[in-house]
Amino acid sequence: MSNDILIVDDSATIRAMIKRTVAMIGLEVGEVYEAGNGMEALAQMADHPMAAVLADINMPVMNGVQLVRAMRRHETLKEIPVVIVSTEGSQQRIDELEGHGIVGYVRKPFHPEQLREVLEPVLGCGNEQNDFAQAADDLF
Amino acid sequence: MSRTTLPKLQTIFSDILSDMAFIFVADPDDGVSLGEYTLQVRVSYKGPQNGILQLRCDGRFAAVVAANLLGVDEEDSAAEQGRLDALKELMNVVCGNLVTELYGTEGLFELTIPEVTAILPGEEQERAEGAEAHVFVAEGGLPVELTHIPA
Repeated sequence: MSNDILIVDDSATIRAMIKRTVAMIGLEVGEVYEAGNGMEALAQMADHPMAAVLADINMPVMNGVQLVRAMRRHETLKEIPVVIVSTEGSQQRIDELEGHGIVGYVRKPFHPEQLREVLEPVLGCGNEQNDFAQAADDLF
Repeated sequence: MSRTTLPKLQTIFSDILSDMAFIFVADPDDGVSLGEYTLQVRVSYKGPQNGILQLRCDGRFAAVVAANLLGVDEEDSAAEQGRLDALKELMNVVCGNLVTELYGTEGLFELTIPEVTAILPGEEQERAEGAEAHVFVAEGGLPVELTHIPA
């Protein structure tokens, strides 16, 4: 299976920032797809099988909690690992999302290594040709 | 709970701005004339406590935030096109972290989608009751005013 991932956030700036971070942390990622809300994310997943979804919570149309609930009810989407990338600080909401089987939670603002820690077990080992430490040094 | 939220707000804002966008802020020097604000961003939180967080700045600050978030030059068209979106996301992150810092992790809060409006030349803003504001100066002398209005 390919290692394609989907970034779901209503901010194009944050989608670009996460995409750039994923590229620099040295994981073997295939195509990176984007969606501006949960509804768009479901449409993307209907067209493309994803290895993981990185989703914000606070979005218009369909928020991240609604997206995770919808995925868990769906026969083919329910097994896709979901990582929440959000400003959310409510333990109640995080507990609810964990109850729906999210595999990780990264709070904004985040450091690249936090994203790597949650994505690495999902996507497999890192790409050794792309040294994370060097990439981080180059960026910062 | 103390009614003075300003010290926490100042710390959260400066930390997030430096962490996310590599922009460092300081307090303005006395007597130095600051530029005009042309943009205003507002985000509200609703839950066990309600309030509004507001930022006023100029277009140049917005462009710097966008450029640094995107990893492009300030003159890049992506920075110009993304400046309002970048400001909204910055305020979303600041507000989310402020709510947790002020009220803890037990309550369930909803944040509105941040809204940006233009400030017309000469337009005055009335200070809401209970509002606490602080002015920062970002690198390059760019003024930023952050206001918390607890309901």
